[in-house]
Amino acid sequence: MNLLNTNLPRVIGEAFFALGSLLFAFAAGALILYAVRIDPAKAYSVFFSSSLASSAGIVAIFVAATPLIINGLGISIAFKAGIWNIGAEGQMLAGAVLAAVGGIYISLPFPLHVLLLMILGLIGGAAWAAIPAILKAFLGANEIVVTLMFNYIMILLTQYLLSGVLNSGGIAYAGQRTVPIQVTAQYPPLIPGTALHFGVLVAILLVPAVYFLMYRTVFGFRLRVVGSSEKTAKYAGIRIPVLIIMAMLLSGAFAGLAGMGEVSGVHYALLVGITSGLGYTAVLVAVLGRLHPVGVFLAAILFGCLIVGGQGMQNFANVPSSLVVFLQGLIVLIVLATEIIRVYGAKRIVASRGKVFIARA
Amino acid sequence: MLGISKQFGQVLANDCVNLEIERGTIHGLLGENGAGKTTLASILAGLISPDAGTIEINGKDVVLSSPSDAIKNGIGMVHQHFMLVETMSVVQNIALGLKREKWPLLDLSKLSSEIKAFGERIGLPVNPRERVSSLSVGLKQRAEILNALFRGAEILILDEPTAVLTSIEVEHLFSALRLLRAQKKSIVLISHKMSEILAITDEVTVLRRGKTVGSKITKETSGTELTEMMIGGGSLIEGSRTTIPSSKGLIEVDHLHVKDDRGVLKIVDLSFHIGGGEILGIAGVDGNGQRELADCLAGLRKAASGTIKLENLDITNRDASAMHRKGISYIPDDRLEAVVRDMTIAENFIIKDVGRAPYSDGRLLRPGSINRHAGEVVQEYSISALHTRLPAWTLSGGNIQRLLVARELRMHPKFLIACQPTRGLDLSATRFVHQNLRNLADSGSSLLLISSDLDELMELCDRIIVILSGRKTGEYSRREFSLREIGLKMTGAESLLA
Repeated sequence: MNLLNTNLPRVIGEAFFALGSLLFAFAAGALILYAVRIDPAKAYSVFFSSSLASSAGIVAIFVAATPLIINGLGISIAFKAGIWNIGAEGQMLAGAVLAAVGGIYISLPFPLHVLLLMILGLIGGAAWAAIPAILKAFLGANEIVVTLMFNYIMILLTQYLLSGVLNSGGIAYAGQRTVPIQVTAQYPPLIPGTALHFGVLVAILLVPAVYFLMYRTVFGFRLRVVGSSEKTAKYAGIRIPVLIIMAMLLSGAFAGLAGMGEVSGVHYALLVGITSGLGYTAVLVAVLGRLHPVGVFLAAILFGCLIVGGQGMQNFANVPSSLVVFLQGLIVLIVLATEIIRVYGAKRIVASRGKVFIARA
Repeated sequence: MLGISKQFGQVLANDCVNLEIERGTIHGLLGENGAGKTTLASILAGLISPDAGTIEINGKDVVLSSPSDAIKNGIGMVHQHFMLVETMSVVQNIALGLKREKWPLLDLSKLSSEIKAFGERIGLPVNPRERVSSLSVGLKQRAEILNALFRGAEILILDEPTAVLTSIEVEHLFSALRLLRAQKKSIVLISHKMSEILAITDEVTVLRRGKTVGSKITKETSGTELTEMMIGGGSLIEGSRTTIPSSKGLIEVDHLHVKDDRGVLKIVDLSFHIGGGEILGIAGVDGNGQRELADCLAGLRKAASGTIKLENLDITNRDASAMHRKGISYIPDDRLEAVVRDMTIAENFIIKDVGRAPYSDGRLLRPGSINRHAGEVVQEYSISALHTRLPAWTLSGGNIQRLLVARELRMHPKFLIACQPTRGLDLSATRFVHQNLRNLADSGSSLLLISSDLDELMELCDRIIVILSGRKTGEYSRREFSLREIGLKMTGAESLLA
């Protein structure tokens, strides 16, 4: 049903293209490092030894990539339906808040407690996406503006809760973080003794699940029609508002689950800045992954590498943190730019084919 | 312009066209939709290059390979869709691309006063400081004309200038054009409205299917003669069909009124019926309510009043998927509205039926039967596709139309609405569509064929209804078909004869 299944040479060609753009990006980064008198060879060797070249590094990459995979998948569902949901940050936070509350105040035996937190995370994210969804579907409100505003509301609401009802006092950083969630609510480790938690497996399993949803179900099919052309969707008799709401709720639920994972698998508490912009980074992940589940997974892993390797450079090669962020930005920019060039090239071919339509008097 | 030819894909848009315009005259360019008027004008304006032919201005050969070449040679074009930046003022729009002494710096106040004076001098006053978005349609057009003239245009091309105007604005435009004529400017007026051509032009050239039919001095010709030139006389009606009388697929439309998006009544009190096995044609110049009628019958637009019945069942204002389930198929005039270019060919075949067996069980798709179905349809309707799992944009225009026709016909609809189903298609694709429409009618379905191509209507239809401004102005059964009659009713030229 889709090109990735049927057109192997094209996929290989694109992989080479992506690899080439990455190499180019690292070369450009080397020039910058050289310019500020840091040995690029040393910086990059630390980058790789702290990320891809060690098992601890690989674990760290997967842990860092997990919220990006889940968020990126959710965003790709919305984007595929033509809804520009950039509210993952707020929806993620909503899921995290609800999960933290369930993890602190409710007592349940181990597997059930984690399951409850997952459900709370899904509900929290979906609920926070519901209002923009309804405004978009029935009033035509611009979802970009509304979801963006909802991010700010949720960030401030979380700070308010942390310094208010969720402030238990008497612990370090009171007002900045909650007390730890109960042990029964924590994601269990996948490999004991490592940071690899159950949430990583959840993220990986969601990749084929989303593929199935988008390319093997009637719902996914209709979603793609709406996203390609609302006019055609109307012509085909698809009930557009219902689909818009469903796609938004699903997208929000994914973000909420990602937020819950940060609470339950990484920090074991809710804290200020727990999402740390991951909801926005995930928009890039989704776009870079061309809104395809496999692409989103690969893009999230790339970002995981950049995050982990960047930290390594900062800690062991004395590269200032601002320069690390700069390098990460540069790499993303170049990869995106080459992607745009590639897509634009394809569009031009289409345009020359399309002349027959345009030219009718 | 001599022997101008231009081919798009397999369509010959201009075939050895000749056009001669005298200084200080208004020259009408008349023809049906798709006759090649806009192509010819675009060549003159340097927007597209001709494949063959020469252009002479004042006896000198010129090559117009870009719009700026055309402007240098004193040719300016005002497009059907305005090319103004809405958020900028008139003077800012005119300043775009204008190189003046202080370039690259702008001197808007000087330019602005020059434009104001220039506009008043030639009889086209416009406030240069006004934002384009706040101008009325008529004033926007005036700004466009002013823009062309300010750049030194001696030959002004107007593409369907009255299509967007109210009747008062048309009057203003025409008086302005007469003033320009008095100032020895040459004007090319593209239109398919007979009354306008007769009212304002000095000379008229008629195009038909990309060829020059002839030129006439307006005073020495008549609406009847021009209509005949425009639609072509004496084409034979062949292969008449036999209608199967039956109540299956019977469509009855009663006192239907339909409004467009802006609330303007586009279909006024229209009634007709189509029996099983019958093809009813709707003849009319584009934009006379055809689109609204088709959308309404397909469930995409609500009727303001009136009823639609299929096999004696009232289906007025059911939604599109209900209409589809009742057995109504729709081929819209914009085929890209009905085909998703980014989705695969196989997926496009099931876009309306995805929720039903055998393509799914209502929730999960069945890729096996979807692909098998696609393979069969591609074979049966000889669609040249590399692979059914490639996106639809890999198909040529003709094959996209085949895809659409195949999808809409393969479900054996009781009633098919086909809008301009062969527009822009080459001969073989046109034959393919015609044959399929006939076959469907022969199997007892009702067809509504909306087309601006009279030959097509007369070849296929059992009856033809003519509409003008959304009203029925004539109805003819097959024995009464006459190009001349129908053409006159379409253009409204008949009332001018009286």
